[in-house]
Amino acid sequence: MTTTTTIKQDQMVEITQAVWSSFLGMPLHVVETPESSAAYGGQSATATVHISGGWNGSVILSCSTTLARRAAVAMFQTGPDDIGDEDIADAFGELVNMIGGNLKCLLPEPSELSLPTVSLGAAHVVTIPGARLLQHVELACDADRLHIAVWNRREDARPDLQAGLEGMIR
Amino acid sequence: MKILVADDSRVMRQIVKRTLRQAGYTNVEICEAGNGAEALEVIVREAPDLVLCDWNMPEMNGIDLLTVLRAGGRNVAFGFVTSEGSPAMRERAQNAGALFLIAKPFTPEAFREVLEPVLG
Repeated sequence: MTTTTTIKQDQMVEITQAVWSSFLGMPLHVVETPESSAAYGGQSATATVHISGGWNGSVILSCSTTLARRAAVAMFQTGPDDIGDEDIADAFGELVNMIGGNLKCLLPEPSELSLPTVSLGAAHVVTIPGARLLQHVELACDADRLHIAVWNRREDARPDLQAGLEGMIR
Repeated sequence: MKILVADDSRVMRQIVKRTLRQAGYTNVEICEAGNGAEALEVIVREAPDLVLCDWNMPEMNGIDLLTVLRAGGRNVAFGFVTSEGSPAMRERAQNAGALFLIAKPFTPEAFREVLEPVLG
């Protein structure tokens, strides 16, 4: 397998679609006109994994809590009424773990993948000090949008390139 | 036939169990663990025939669990089910004594392919 220090959009799309079709059985396609995450209706789900070692950065998955709930329902194969916030966090965390793990395989080794962190609720901001946005893509699952971003953290990162996800998550 | 499914994600444990059934392993007893330390306790108590283990877990990760098992002389059949399937990870798993590594996302066919030589 060839490793690289960058990630291409089509690699992110291919990996995310593979995860989505295998475990959710729902369609997911690229959108040409990304929506403001304000379209999440103020209630969003954000899941993050960090990669550290031969390459340093983070993979962030975000969407409305509506889509995160749909994903959890599909993964647990149960009814919407049987799904709680803990189940949504578990399922959404596993999604970013799979996407991040597969992206990590494309990057220089050796490196470690963190356990996922998940937040659900009103609009929030995620910051990764010293990181810059490397690549991002937005996909549509019916009327719902899913945003995937890869942030790269470098020793020589300039302060003006530091990441602030405000505006991407809100 | 008893299989231990160790993964810190409850939904992934469900998906692994579902995939085992879809792969044709309907007549197996399945026990579960939410991390490596818990898995070690279950292995000692339940003596499963096979361990299907996530790599990245809290408390004790999968590779540390496998190392502890082999150092303690426990040769239970062991395979990883993990999101990280790079050649380096596969080599590390094999060197530690794992029989196989199934990368997530997976299919029932992928399970059948690696489990048939182990479970028949």
